[in-house]
Amino acid sequence: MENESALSITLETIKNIISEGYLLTDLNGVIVDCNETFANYLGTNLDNLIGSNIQDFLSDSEFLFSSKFFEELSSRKKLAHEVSLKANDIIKAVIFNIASLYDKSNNPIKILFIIQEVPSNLSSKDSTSEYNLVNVFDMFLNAILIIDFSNRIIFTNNKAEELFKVNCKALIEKNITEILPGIENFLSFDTAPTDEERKSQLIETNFNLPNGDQRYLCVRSFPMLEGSILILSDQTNRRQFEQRLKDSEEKFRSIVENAQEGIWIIDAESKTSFVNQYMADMLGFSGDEMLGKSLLGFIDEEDIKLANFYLARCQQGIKETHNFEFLRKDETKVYANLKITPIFNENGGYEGAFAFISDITEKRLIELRLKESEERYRLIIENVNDLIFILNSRYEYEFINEKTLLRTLEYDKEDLIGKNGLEFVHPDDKTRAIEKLTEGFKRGEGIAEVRVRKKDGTYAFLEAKGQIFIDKNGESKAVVISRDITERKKIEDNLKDSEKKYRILFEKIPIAITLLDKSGGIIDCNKAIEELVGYSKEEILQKHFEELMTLYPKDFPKLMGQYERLVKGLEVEPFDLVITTKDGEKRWVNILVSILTQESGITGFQIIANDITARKIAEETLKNLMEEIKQQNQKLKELDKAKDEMLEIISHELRTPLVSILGFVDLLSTNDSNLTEEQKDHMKILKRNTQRLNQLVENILDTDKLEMGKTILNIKSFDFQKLINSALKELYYRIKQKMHKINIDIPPNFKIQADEELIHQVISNLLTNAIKYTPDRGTISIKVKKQGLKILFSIKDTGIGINQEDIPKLFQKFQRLPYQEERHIGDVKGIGLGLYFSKKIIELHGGKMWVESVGINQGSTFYFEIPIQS
Amino acid sequence: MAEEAKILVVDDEPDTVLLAKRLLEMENFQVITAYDGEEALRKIYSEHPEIVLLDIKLPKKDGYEVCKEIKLNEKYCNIIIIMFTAKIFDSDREKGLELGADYYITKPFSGKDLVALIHEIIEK
Repeated sequence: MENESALSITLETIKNIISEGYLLTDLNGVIVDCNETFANYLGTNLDNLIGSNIQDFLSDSEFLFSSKFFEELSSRKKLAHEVSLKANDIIKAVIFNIASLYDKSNNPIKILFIIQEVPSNLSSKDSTSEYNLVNVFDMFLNAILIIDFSNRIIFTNNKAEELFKVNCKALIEKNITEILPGIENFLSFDTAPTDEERKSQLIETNFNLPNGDQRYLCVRSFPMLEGSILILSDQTNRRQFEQRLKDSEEKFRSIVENAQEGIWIIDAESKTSFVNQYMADMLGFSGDEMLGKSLLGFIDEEDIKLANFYLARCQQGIKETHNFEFLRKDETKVYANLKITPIFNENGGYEGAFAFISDITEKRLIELRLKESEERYRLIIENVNDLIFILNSRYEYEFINEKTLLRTLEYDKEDLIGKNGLEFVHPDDKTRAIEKLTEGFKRGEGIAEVRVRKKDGTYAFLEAKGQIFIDKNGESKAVVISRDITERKKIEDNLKDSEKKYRILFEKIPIAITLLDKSGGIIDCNKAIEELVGYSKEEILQKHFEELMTLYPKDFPKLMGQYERLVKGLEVEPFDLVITTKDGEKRWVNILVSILTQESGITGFQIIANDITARKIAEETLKNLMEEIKQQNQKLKELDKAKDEMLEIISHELRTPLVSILGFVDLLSTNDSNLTEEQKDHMKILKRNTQRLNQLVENILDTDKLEMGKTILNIKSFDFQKLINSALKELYYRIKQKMHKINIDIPPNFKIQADEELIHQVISNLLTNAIKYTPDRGTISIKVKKQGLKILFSIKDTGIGINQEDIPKLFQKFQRLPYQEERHIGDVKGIGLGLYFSKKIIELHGGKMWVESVGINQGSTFYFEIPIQS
Repeated sequence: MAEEAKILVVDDEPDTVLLAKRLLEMENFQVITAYDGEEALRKIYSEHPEIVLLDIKLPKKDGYEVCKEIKLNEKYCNIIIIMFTAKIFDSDREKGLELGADYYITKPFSGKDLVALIHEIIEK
């Protein structure tokens, strides 16, 4: 300090401009001066304080104004001391930065106190570094430079020396711009005459000091009488700190913002004081929308009770993790995991909470699905009909489906779990079971059929299929599915029995049976077959059915037809085949084929073969006989034909001469005037015999014709009476000769339809017989009667009659009665064809002829009956 | 037609022809003869008989053919044809009828029947 006036001005200035509290006391503590700030600390005003003792406002003031105090003060020049200021009823902790003011003789005359509150948001360390190190002894906490109007420095303090790292002498007289380059850009240095008109200015910026340092200074300039006073506050550290804080804050911010988790901070009222972007995004809100809003506003109504419960716990200081549902902006739900940490202040007061929140909706979904799927598998396993169980490599049960177990083997799960599976296996099956298990574990899979003991002691037949797997611990285990095949086994046994029975039957039966597969190969046969074909069973089984058959080309189409039907599954009728035995013998068999089918279709054929060789031979023989007969018939026909031809020739050849003979004889006899009586007789004889001959020829030809069926009836309508009359007329001479009496009884105009000529012959024949066999003066009665659709003709004579026993012979061919009456001249002796012929004619008309005779010499009546319309 | 009617007798058997000739000549008919089918036709075309007695079995042309030919011939179809038939074959009759024969007479025939038939024909 160079002059006192400067000091008092400076003090004055300081008092008003510093932000800290300013107190000036005498050496006893009586307050000489103070500023508003100080007054505010004490909660009173300036005027009250002037004159009172500072020690009245301190709670512990023993140290202050003691001899020790002054000793330290003189040695150290400056002090920092924490005191408790009583302000109304509040006690505040403050730091006094103390310095003494000296007179010219370097005797302390006053004490200067600069007061500050203990900072709460900065570590005490920092505050110390910032404030406690202030060189109070210089009475200026900050560097002070006083400049004149030419901007020359006229005053500095120690702090300024420290700041600029030079002696104050180096600063005095220098231009401010040399010391603080660039200051002129910020502060305007007026040269206005009055202080009032000049402004106080403030700038905070970096300055490159002449000593090479770069320092962040807060420069406050206050106009003074002769210039300006610049108070430089070195904020570099603070700035650095701030920067660090800013950096760390930024880092923190960056961490918070980039966290892959939501960060949500609530205050004591559960209102959102902070959310990071992640959290905001999780709920679909913007950060601003969430800020200040209650946590409960993001929760579904029904969850609020629970939320409050958790909050209460949090407030109690319980740090825990919960899963909770939040409502998003679009009202969908988000499932989140919250790691909550409550926040307390140093008084233990709850100030809110801090939580890391992760969205586990996805995870939860996966969990649910997993659970569902697990449930499903469980359901399946528990409800299948087969036993599913897991054995470890020691064959102990580790898992088994309960329900099925109970149902099939009647055990509870506990009966089995942990026990060795082999305990329950049937003693006879144990060895095999062990084999199968060891093999199975080696190979990775296996199947076995074993009997397992049920709870009631009986055994069930199980078919077990196992697969080996490695569990999560790396151990080999087997998962086995077991099916109860007891029923099936029973059926199999029954089947075996009935198969046995069938086989016995098959083998023993004397009928030859063979079984073929689908394509005709022989798969089985019985003894009877062996006997039939002469091969042994082994030989037969290697053959195809066709190899035993002998195929004749003519049989081929039929056989193919049968095959085709069989292949389609259509039944065929039994049919015949030829087989060739081992010895080369040919045998005929009748084959009965049955088609064997299953669901899959045709599986084969069963053939029953009957040896029909004998029958076939018989048939063959028969056939041959038939053939012979046919040939014979043919021959007969030919003979017949030959006979006919012969007859034709005969008829023609015989007739031709007869024509002449008869004709000329006739001619001669008509022209008989030149003949002698004897000659006339001769002529008669000639004529008679010729006629006889002619008649014979006619008869033979007629009869033959009739027999051959060559007679065609020439049916026409004629008057029966006329016919009879005609016949009578022809025989008139004979009748007259024998003096027979003829009676005729016939309806008038009686017409019938028949072959006129043939009926004529019949009547002639009957009439001739009647005349011939009736002695002279006999009676011949002809009667014709209508009987319904038939007519009955009868001719009764009073002749020699017929023996009863001869009657049947009468109508036979070439039959003549042995007894004859005396021959009259002119009687033509028949050859026995007449009645035979007549009967045949009548029968041809569909009628009948018969005779009645009582006996010898009692006459006979010949009848015939024909339809009126033949 | 008068007793001057000309009758042709056709038969391959000379005796038969002679018999017929004698019988008919006795009745004052004019008789010409032929012994085979072709001769018959020749005689018919040249002599124009009113009646023809025709046997079936003839050499060269048989009775059927002659009958057919005559009956189909406009000029000669009015000639009366009497066919000789053998009784044994009814089929002869039918065939003959089909071909247009007018009458039949069976062999052996009686002279009386023949003459009666001729008279019957002439009266028509």
